[in-house]
Amino acid sequence: MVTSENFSLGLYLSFRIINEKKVRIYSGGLVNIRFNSSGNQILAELVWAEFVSPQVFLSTQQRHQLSMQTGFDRLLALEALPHITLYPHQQETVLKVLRDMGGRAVLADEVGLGKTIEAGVIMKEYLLRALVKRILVLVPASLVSQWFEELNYTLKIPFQVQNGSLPWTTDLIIASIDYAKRDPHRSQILAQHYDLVVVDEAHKLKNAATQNWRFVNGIQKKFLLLLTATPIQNDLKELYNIITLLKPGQLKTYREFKREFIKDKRTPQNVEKLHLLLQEVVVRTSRRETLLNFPRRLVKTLVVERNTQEAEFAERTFNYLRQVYNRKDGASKSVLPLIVLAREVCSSPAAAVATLRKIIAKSGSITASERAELKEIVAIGQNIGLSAKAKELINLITSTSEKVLVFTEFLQTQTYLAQEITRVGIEVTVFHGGLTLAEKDAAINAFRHEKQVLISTEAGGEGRNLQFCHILVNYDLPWNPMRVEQRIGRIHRLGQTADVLIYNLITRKSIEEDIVYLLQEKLRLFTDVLGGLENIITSSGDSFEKIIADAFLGSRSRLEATCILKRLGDDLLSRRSAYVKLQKHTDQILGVRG
Amino acid sequence: MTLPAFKARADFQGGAANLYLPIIAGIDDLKLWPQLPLYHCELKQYQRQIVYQPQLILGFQVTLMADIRQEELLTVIVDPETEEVRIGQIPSGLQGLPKGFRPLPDRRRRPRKFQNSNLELTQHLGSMDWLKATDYQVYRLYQQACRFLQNYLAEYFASTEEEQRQKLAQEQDRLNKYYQGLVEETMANLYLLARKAAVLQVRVALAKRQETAQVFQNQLDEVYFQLNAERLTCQEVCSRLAVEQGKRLYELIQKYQPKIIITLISAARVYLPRARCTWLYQTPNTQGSLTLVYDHHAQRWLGLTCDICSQEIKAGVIGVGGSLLCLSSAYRCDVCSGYSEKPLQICSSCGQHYCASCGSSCLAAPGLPSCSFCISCAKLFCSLCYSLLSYGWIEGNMPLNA
Repeated sequence: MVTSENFSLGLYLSFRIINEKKVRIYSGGLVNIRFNSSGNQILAELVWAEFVSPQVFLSTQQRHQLSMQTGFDRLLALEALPHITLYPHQQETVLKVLRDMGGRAVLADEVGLGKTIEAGVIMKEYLLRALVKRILVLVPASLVSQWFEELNYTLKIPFQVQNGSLPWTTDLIIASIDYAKRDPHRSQILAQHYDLVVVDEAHKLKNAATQNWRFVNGIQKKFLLLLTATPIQNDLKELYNIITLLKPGQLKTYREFKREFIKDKRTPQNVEKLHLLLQEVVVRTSRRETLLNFPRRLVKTLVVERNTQEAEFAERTFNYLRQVYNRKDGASKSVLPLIVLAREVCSSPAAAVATLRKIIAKSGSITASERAELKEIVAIGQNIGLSAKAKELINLITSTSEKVLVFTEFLQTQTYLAQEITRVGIEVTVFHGGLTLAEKDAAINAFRHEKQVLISTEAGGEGRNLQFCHILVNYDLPWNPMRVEQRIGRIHRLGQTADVLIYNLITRKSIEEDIVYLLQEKLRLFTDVLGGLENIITSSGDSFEKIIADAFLGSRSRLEATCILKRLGDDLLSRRSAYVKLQKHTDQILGVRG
Repeated sequence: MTLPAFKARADFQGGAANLYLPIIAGIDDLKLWPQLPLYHCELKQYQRQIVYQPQLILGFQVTLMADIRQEELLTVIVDPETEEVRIGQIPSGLQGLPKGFRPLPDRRRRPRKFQNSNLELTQHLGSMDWLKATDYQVYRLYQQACRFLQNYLAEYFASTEEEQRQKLAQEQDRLNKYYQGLVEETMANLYLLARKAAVLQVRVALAKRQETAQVFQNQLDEVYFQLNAERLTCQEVCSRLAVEQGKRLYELIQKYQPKIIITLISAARVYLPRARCTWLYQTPNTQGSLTLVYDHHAQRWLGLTCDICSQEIKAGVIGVGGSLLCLSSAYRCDVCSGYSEKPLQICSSCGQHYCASCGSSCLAAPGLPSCSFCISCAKLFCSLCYSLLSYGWIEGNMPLNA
C-alpha cells in the first residue's frame, strides 16, 4: 500500500512506505551526497610521495576537464562509436528522448528509418553516462539474433542472448518476449529492477488485456523504450494502451480519453490537444521529413539452365524428398530436414551431396532400396563438374573489376565456389560463422584492400562495414524474405554512395524461380525499402519457408504448387498494401507530415 | 585487463604531485600590493621576508546523477596556515619539487588496494584510518575539504535539484490523478448499486401492500447480493491498483532522485612564495606590531580577518586592545576617537559614548572602572564629566562627595 509521507527526519529526509518497502526520499535539499573511495589511491600517492611531473599532473587535470559531461549537450555514444554516423533525424530523436522525454518514449519512426540504431545509441549513451546498468531487451523471437548482432557488433554493447542458461540478473540481456513472459521466467523478471527496458515491435502490446501488456507493465523499470512503426492498427484504444504502458496517466483514464479524444474507433477529436500530449511521449519521423535519398537497388535475375547431370541430380533428389514428405503423417511431420535438403539442392550439388551422405550413413533411418537410390544420386552429384550457376557467377565476376559480395547459405557451397573461382585466377576470401573474431576482421580487411570477391554465409557480415562494395550476388536464395533483406542490408545502408546491384542466380524451373517471383513481384523486396517485413510475413500462422516447402513437396503437380504460391503471393500483396495504409493512418493521428 | 578497466585504473593514477611556485620578480614589491585597509592608525613597515607556505590543492570530480548526468571539476584549496578552504584555480607556472623534500612515511604500511565504493561522508572518512595514521595533516585537510564541499554543493546544485524535484512532483501528480481516476471508475458501479439499494429500501418501507413490499424486498435482496459481489471485485481491483501505483511511484523516485558522487581525481601539495610583513602601528590610545602575509598569487592579504566576526576585513581598524576589527564590529569612542572591541558605555551627564579607557573610576572602589550593575556607581560618567563633577561645575548635578 502507498501511504503518504509517514514521518520525517529533520529538514530533508523523509521516508515513504511503498509496497511494504521503506523508500528514502530526499525532498527538501541535496543530502544524497556520496564520496567515491577510488580517490584513496591518489591520496596514497601523495602521502607516499609517488609524484608525477607538473606537466603530467596538469595534463591529467585538463583531460578530466575535457571529458566532463554536462547534460545531454553532446552524444558521448557517437564519440565512442566513430564508425557510426547518425542521420540528422536520428540524432534529433536520440536527443529528444534523452533530454525532453526522460528516457520514456515510443520510437515510432516510419519503417526503414533506423529505430533500432536510435534505441541502440540511447542505450549506449545511458551506459556511457552510467545512468543505467541493467538493460532488458524484449523482441520477437525472429529478431533476437538481429538485435544481438546490431548491439554487439555495431554498437559494441556486450549483450547476451537469453537461451535458458543465463540468470535474469544478468546486466545486459536480450530475450524473446514470448519466452520471457512464460513462467518461471516471468516471475523471475518481475522480481528484478531494470534500469532500462526496450521492447521491439511494441504494437504487440496494443491490448491491455493480453499477457504481453500485463507482463511489460509488471516489470520495474526506470526508463522504457517502445519501438513500433504502427502504434495504431485498428483502434485508438491500442494507442492509448501503449502510451499508458509507457507513462500511466499521460492520456488520463480510458474513460476520460474516450470522452475527450475519440470520435469513433479510428477517428480522433480534439486533434491538436491530442497531438500535444502525444508529442511528449512519441517520436515519429516520416520518410519525407528526413529528405533522405537512399541509393537505388537495381536487381537483375540471371536464369541459368542446368546441365543434364545437374538436372537429373535435382530431379531425383526432389523425387526422394517428395516420397519422404508424403510418407510422413501429420504428427511426425518434421519438415525442417527436408527443407534444408531442398535448399541445398537449389544451392549446389556439393552441399546436397554432403547431406545425402549423412543420411546414407545413418543406419536404420532408411530402407535398403532408399539407400541404394541415394547412393546413385550421390554418385551423379559427385560427377557434376562446374555447375551452370558457378559458371555464370565466374562470368559475372570476370566481367567486372569491382568488388563482388557473394552470399550463400551453405558452407559446402562456399568452399566449392572458393575453389572454382580461385581456379580461374581470381582472388577470393571467405567469411562464415566458424571464424574467430580476428579471422573475421582479417577476411573483411582482405576484401576491402586486396581480394575482389568475398563469399559469405548468412552468419557472416552482420553489422560489418561492407559499404565499400556495391555488387551483391545471391548465389542461392534463402526461403525467408527477412534473410534476403538482411543480406541486402549489408551493403544497402548508410554510407553507400553507389547504386546497389543485386544479382539473383537461379536455375530455370526451380523453386527459386517461384521464390524470386514472390519476393520481387509481390513484396517488391529487392527494389523497395519497405521495412516492417516481419509484420507482413508473420501475420499468417505458418512460416514462409514451410508454406513453400508444403507447396513443392506436398503438391501432386507443378500446377497445384503454382496455385498455392499464387495464393501466398496475393496474400502477401494485400498484407503489404494494408501495411502501407496503416502507416499513413498512423501519421495522421500522430500529426506527422507524410 | 580489459580496455575500460585499464582506462579506469589510469584515471586514478598519476594524480598526485609535489609542486612549488618559483619566486618571480616583484613578489615583494610593496608598490604593487594593494594598500592595507586599516584606518585611523599610523602604520609603518618594520620588516618583510619571503616565506614558502604549503597548500593542499584537491581536484574533485563532482557528478550529479538523476535522469541526467552532469559533471563538474572543482578545485578545492586548503590552506593549513589560515585554515581557509575555498574553491580556486591551480596556479600557473608550477614546478616539481625534488622527492626528498620531506621524510617519507614507512612504505611497508602502504595499502595495496582500495575498495571502490560510494559512501556517505562520515563513513568515507571513517574508512581512511590508514591516512590518519600515516599523515594526519593531510587527513585533516582532506576532511576539511570534504566537509566544505558537502555544504558548497548543496547550494551549487540547488537549481538543478529544484528542477528535478519539480519534475518528480509533476510526475507524481499525474500518476496519483490517474490511479485516483481508475479507482473512481472502478467504484462507480458500486455507487450505482448502493443508490439502487437505497431507493429500494425506501420503496419497501413505503409499500402499502404486503405483496408489493415483498416484491421490492426481493429486488433489494438481489441488489444486495450484487453489491457484495461488486464490493469484493472493487477491493481486489483497488488493491491491485495500489500495488501498481506503488511500483510506478518507486520507479519515479529512482529516476528523479538526485544523487551526487564526489571523486578525488588529483591532489597536490603546493608550496607558494608569500611575503610576510611586520607593521608597527600607533592609534590614539594604543601601539604595537602586526604581522600579516601577502599572497602574491591570490593578490590578497592572508589572515586579515576581524577578531570579532571572523569575516575578511575590507576596511578595518585596530581596537584599543590591539585587535583587528572590521568597521561593523568596532565601536568608536566619542571621547578619545579610538575603537573599542566591546560595546561602549554612555555618560549620564553628557550622553557621549565612551570606551573602557575613557570611563570613570568606580566610586566605591577607586582605581577600578565603573560597572553598570554596581549600586554605588549607578550613574556612569565619562572621565571628563567625572573630573568636572568633582568640582561641581556641571549644573544640575550634585558634587559627588555631597
